[in-house]
Amino acid sequence: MTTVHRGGQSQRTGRGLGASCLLALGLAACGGGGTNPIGNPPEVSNPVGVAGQKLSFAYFQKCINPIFLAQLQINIGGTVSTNTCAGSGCHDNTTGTGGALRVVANAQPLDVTDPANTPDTIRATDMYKNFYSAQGSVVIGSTTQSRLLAKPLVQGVLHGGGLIFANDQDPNAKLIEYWITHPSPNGQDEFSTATYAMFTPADPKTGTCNTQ
Amino acid sequence: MNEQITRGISMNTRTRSNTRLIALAAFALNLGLAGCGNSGSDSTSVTVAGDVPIAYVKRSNTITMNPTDGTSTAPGGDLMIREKSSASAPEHNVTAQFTQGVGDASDPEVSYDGKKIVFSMRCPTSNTSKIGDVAACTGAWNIWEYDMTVGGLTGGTFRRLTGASDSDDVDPAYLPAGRGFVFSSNRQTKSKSLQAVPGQTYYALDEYERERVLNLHTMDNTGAKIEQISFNQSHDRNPVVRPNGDIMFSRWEHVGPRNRFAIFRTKPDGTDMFVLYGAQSPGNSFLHPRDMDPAGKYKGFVSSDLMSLSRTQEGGALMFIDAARYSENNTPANTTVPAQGGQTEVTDKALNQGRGLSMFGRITTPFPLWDGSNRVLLGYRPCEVTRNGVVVACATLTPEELALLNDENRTDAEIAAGAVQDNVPASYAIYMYDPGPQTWLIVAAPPVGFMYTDPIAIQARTEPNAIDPTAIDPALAAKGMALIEVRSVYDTDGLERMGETMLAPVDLPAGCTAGIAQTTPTDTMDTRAKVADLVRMKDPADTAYGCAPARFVRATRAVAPPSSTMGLRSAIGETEFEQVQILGYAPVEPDGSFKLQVPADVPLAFSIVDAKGRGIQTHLNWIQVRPGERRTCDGCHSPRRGGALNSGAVVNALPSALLPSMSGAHQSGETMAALRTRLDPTALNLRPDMSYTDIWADTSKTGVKALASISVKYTGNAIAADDLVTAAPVNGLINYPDHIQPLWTRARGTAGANTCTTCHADTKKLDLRATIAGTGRVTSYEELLVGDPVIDAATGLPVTRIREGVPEIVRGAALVETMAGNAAGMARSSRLAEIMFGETLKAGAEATITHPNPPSTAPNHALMLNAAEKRLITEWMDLGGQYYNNPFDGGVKALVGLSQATFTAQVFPILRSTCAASCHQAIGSDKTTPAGTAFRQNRFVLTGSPEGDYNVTLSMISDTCKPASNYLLSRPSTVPHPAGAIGQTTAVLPVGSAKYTAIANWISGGCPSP
Repeated sequence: MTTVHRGGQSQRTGRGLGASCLLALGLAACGGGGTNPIGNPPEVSNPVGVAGQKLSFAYFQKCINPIFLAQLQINIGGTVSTNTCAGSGCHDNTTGTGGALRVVANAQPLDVTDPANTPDTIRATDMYKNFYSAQGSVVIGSTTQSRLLAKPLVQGVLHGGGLIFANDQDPNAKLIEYWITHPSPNGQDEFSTATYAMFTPADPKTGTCNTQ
Repeated sequence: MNEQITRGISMNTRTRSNTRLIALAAFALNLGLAGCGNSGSDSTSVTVAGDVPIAYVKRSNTITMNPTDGTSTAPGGDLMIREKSSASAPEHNVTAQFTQGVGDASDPEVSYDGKKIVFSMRCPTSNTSKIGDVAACTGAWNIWEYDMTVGGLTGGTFRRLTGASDSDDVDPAYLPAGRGFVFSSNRQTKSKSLQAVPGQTYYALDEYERERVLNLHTMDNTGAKIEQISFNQSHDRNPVVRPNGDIMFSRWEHVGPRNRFAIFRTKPDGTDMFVLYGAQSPGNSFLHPRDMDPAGKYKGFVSSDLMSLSRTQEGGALMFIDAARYSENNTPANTTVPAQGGQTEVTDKALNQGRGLSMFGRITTPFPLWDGSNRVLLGYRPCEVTRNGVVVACATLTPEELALLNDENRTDAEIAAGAVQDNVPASYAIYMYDPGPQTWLIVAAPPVGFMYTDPIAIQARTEPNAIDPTAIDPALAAKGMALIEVRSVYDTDGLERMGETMLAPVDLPAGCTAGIAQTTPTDTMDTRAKVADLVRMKDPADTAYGCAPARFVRATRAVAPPSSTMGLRSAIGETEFEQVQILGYAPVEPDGSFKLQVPADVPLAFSIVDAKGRGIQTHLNWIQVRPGERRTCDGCHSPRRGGALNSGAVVNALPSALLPSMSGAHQSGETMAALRTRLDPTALNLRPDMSYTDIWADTSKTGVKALASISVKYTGNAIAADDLVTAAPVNGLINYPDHIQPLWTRARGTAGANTCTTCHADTKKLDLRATIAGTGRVTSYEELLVGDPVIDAATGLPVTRIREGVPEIVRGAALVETMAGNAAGMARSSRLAEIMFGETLKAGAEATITHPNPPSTAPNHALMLNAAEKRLITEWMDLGGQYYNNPFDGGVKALVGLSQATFTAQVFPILRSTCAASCHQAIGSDKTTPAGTAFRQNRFVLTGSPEGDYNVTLSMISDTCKPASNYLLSRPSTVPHPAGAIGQTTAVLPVGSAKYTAIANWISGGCPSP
């Protein structure tokens, strides 16, 4: 692959204008204004992109991963049944067929405050595999577009496991919602200490999981 | 005039005089030039609200564009930039230095920061242009990027991301987070070496056997690490990235009678691929899907241009699709969504979604703006025709002229002789359409001889979510395999693909009133009135346990049509289907579940078969799984939204009549197939034969009866008399001459008294002999696959009818069904199966009248064939009744010496003028003709793409040393052609005519020693 700068070789439409003349006149006369020819008009919103943001690993391992392992009971029309995510051939990492969400059931939690647990160390663990897989089912900031929440609530998607949470007020749904909507600050990774504020007190070891 | 342009032009105005817009466009363009250039005066009065810089492509209007043709090209194309979306704004040709007037450009897409454009460009190697020190042009379509970060709109830098010279890369789009690009390509990077026939590496043609298939590929930001992520058998086109990070694209689904473009989605790594919309909705081909403004009125909607499969120059109607709430038209996601809805044609005047005249014009390549205005940039062309060679607006047509142009029963000769012709090139111009006030503002009008399409706004957008690759099973991936589970084949939608309607009374065992027990869904969001009662069906103590019809799943994969071969069409045979390979079987458990490992990165299909191996339905689309991927389907054609039927309390119900060893091992949420395969992982493997043993029923309990065991093999059956004594298929590839024909001639009975051909040797009734028919295939094949002409009782002559301007013979039902109407299993829909099983299945009344049961004096035909023979014939019918399923058997030859350049120069024009006018066009082009109804009469499809038409023409040639013997010449030089033509005295292509001779010379050029 090679690159070339076109420089002053701008193509013209055959109207006999010099490059600088046409460009300058076009900008001034045709309503664009400003000095950047690809600047957007004032009424066009240009929000900050979310691509590349990360969710909190600390919150995941303490507050989200246990949901995947729990025996979750649901009452539908008076019929109570028990669901699990990691078991029963669905999202189990070895035998499950449940799409992208894979859970290593015996993944062990790590002390994220221990300096020995460097990011590279954590990223090699089963708990991180669970985190990676769950984060892959999330559109950061959007609870409606995140399959991690839309699937168990069966909101506009299909779900082989059926309804897991009766509604979005389910305590576990609230935990997932909080995780999805509280990513690490822009430019910081999934181990950002800023995410410790997602616990009360703000300590991933002793704090409880916030939901609001 | 300025005021008119500023406020836009209403649709009503446009309807009165479409050509007026062109005049306005020209005026506006001129005005813009004056305002922005020569005079230097202020022209803000001619701009429109919310202007943005835009890019689009200028292309020759001689290009034939169809959904079926992904790489069409003609000299004269370039990437254009207009500084504002206003007719008065300056326009710049930014690629002329590379194309030098003889290249082509297409498919621009803007980066999320609004500062780069990725696009495809093609230019000949004879061009002198360089990029760095390298020749810029390769003669093929490549992906390029124009970076305006430094230098602005007209002073940016170019880089060529791909350097294909024997493949085409088109339709690029940016992946978020700088992860590179997704694009469509006929490189077939992986699939070309992963073909069904062992040892064969080749480029696959589409399922019309025309163009090399375009599939989705990704590459990194430098153009490296090119990976194929989709594995369809026909084109995957127009990929874009959705806000949630999914890739959305248009998929040409062409399996048997299914022949349309639907909107699909997948993750960027090719996992989790699924239809999003348009597989079962009105219209034929949904192209160019794009998400509408996530912050606007149409949040969750997708825009698309809806058209026929060919002959509209990729123009159609503008559709807004409520993809967030509907999986198909009138198919809501749940009970809270209105039952009616899904797709809306938003223009106040209806545009033609099929071919023919579209009185209010056609649109193409819509691009919804994400600026809160709900506007859509698009290409638009008015309705124009020629009257005595002069272009006029359709609005000037008299009622008589309109009636004539819309008359589909005119013959080719009548059409050619008409004073009014629908033959005006598509000169699309760029418009800004606002669905609120229904205004159409001209933005850019092309010069004479060109079109402007593919507009995009050069503005920043919210960057989509960046999806990491799906976590896969590395051990499975290393084997090139993947895992699939279907939770219940009985979880089916309103089309009832696996419902009671697919069954016949004979399918019900004694004591059963229904095959599939029904109940009311417990989920209040379920849109179905009734669903399968899986709790009863999996209870061995319940009568429903023994009534369920699904016993096995048959996994098949597509055998792709190879490029650069001759004679393929004859080898495939008289069927809707391309060639298919059987991969194996797996059991379907009583709850309807199955779970198995399948090959990854290949086009797969699953058919659910009954206890005798007959497909209950035919899978009419290809599915794929990536290496190591693990997927679950709710059911067979299940609703695309909602919870699986086999979940929650249903899946956890454990009837007391189950063996304690099984119910005790059950884990919450586990289907019966999941449980069985967890306890016995070998059960995940596909097996060559149908074999089932009931491991569920606790027969120690009173009244509990196990399902009967089933085992049907080609050889090695418990009863030797049930074995094949003729050749068995190899690698799951059934060839009629090798494996089916010998069954008819196998000696049966005393002194061959019951040999099939002893009786069936009458061409007027049924001739099953192995003699060679005029087609070069064995007579029995033609007898079974092609229905006899229907004879008019009054005249004694064959009944004919006009279809698409051409008379054709009306034929009765054949003994073997190859249309898969309603996606039914084809063996069960064939009289041949009914007769050889002695059962009335789903063949229908017409076929039964045409082919009644053997007379009482004949031997019992249900006993003529053994179990293995019935299985083999059933499999052959269910696959589609192909002549050969292995493309490298049966007369298909490697291409030698048949020049594509000579074809394009000398043969292509003849085919365009003589054959393609009305007969040989893509099915689905006419919305009034259901797809597939005329396919048997028309396997030679010409759409005007030189490459595609070249490849499909090769399929009509089998002997280059005897030009006259090939279908390409023998059929049109014979009177009548088509067979039903009445009063025809002169052949379409008379022997010795200049056109005939030109084609003959081209063919003979491929003969090694002419």
